Amino acid sequence: MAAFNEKYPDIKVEIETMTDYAGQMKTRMNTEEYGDLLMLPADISPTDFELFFEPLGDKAELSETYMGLNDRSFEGVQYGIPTQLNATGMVVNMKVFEDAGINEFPKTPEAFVTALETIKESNPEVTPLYTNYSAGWTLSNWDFTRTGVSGDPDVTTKMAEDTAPFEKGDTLYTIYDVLFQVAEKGLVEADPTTSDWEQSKLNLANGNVAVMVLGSWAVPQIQELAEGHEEDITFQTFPVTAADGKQYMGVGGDYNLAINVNSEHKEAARKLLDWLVNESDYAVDNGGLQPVKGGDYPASLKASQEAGVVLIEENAAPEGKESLFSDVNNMSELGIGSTDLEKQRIIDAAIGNSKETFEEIMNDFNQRWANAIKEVSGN
Amino acid sequence: MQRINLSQKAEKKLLIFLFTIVPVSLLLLFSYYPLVKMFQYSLTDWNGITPDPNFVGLDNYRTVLTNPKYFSVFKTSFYYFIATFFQLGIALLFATILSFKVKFANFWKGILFFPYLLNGVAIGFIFLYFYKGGGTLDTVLTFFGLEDQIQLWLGNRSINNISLAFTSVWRYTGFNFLVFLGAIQSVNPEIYEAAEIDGANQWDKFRYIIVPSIKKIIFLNIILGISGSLSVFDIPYIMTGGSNGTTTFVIQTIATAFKYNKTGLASAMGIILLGIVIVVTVVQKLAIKEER
Repeated sequence: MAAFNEKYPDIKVEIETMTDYAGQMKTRMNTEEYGDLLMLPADISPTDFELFFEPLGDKAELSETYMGLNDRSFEGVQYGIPTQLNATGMVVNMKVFEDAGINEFPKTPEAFVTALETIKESNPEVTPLYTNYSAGWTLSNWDFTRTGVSGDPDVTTKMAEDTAPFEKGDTLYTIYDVLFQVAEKGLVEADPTTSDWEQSKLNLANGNVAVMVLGSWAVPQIQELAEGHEEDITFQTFPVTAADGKQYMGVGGDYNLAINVNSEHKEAARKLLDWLVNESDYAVDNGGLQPVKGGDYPASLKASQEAGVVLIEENAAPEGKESLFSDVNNMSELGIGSTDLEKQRIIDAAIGNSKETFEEIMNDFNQRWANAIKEVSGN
Repeated sequence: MQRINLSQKAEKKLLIFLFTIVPVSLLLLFSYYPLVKMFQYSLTDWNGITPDPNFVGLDNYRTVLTNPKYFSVFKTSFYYFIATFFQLGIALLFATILSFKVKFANFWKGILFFPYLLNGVAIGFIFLYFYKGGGTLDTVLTFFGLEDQIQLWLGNRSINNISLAFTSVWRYTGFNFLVFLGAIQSVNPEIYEAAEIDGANQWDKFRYIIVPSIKKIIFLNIILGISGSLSVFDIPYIMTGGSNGTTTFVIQTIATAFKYNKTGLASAMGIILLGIVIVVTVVQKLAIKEER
């Protein structure tokens, strides 16, 4: 903030932080007092943007300068600009792989599962993949890998209209199948129910854990813990090779900055917003890509850039269907990218806590998704 | 300035009014107003944000009552309901012992009541470390050479609800204990003396004096236990987040409202739970009346 005040000495910035941002902010938005500049909460429906946020400009125009504008625009008007872009994939301690004789990160699900088995055999003390089952938000990262896994920038839009998106061969089936197999073969933590996020970062840094599925923002945090051997911690894409033989990694906007439509200091808020996205080091410090086009790759993504992984950004949903995916997702209560309960169910089944088979779960998902599409389109 | 003269009766009325206005307005503002609002929401498809929800009538209630997914979680409450009886048994046992002459009685009372004073979140974390793999419980078992009894206390689906219910017993026993102790101490001590002269031992005193005189309190505690076990929330929410078959109705309501953004539906779930608790309470009132 000191750097901001050097440029704009008359603007006084008060920062308010919340521990449960997503939960508390939604409640506060029922009033008019929700700050001047704020992070746009993730689950506001695009149709409601104009009621809460100041338009930031024409989307087409802004997209010449910025990336990651797709989720926060409605009918061509932009309401939020992301603070940074994150890639979703796997944070990997390569040292653990090398110790087990694996020098290259696997590129297919089969090779990935085999690699984890090799790690477990060569050192039974190591937890090959830590799920962070109980944290309540970490498992959603598995869902976010869908853009990279499919290599298709329209995967989410297509899903919103597919009445059976969990068939064998479908993107999410592949992702969940990896999760199920890894858990079934005992390659995850022994007691997922009591998993511990802070501890897991330390374990990954120390080489007691080999892989965690996360966003690229986690890399600097874990590297900091791996003092002296930071280069072991790398970021890799989900081990799937798309049909065209290439590997993709999905990138998407983090929280978007938006301006309260009821604010009395809109101009000052806009100056702060522009400064944050254009000039501050926020994105790079947090392991993400700068939203400004042509910005530097953060160190965390350089490894996969060299490996030839293509970064891919999701396309915007077509006009009139902006909120379709989130409506269907909420209606079905599958919580794709928003809750962990159904991923926990997959792990529970895999480690034998419940008697469901993977196919049964996928069939249930298909059915609930299809019903939700029917209900949403009926309204 | 002229003093206003009020009759004593009017003054009393005014005082009562002034003193009650604060709690009553707090009650109206934080209990009844939200309740009315919640009932209103429960008739809409509100998602928690949008300013113009659609009116859907009783659809939400129909969804909750017909979809087994929403009701099956009440079987988790069963564990807590059974635990209530252990809780009452332990509380009654200690209340009886401490109502007789015991050394350091106040110290023991303090120890028993202490867990109830702790915040539920703190208790959740204490027991999370207690049950964790390699945690306190496992260490104690190892110390006694019982390594083969070690389980995933929270991970194993056949026992995790028991682990959680035990935590709840630990927390609430102190409260029941205090209620029982108060009731037992209100028994006229002369009766004990008379019984002693007649040659009654401690068990006789318990069986024929204490239990009959606090019957109503026991019943009240059971009812509190039932409504408590229907609305269990903080301990499982903090310790397991409702994963792995430990979801309760309240946790599910929260998820519906704030994770799936179905605030309307969740409001209906809240109203239904309120209805069930009211029914239980009315049954209690009727049963107590009959005894008189």
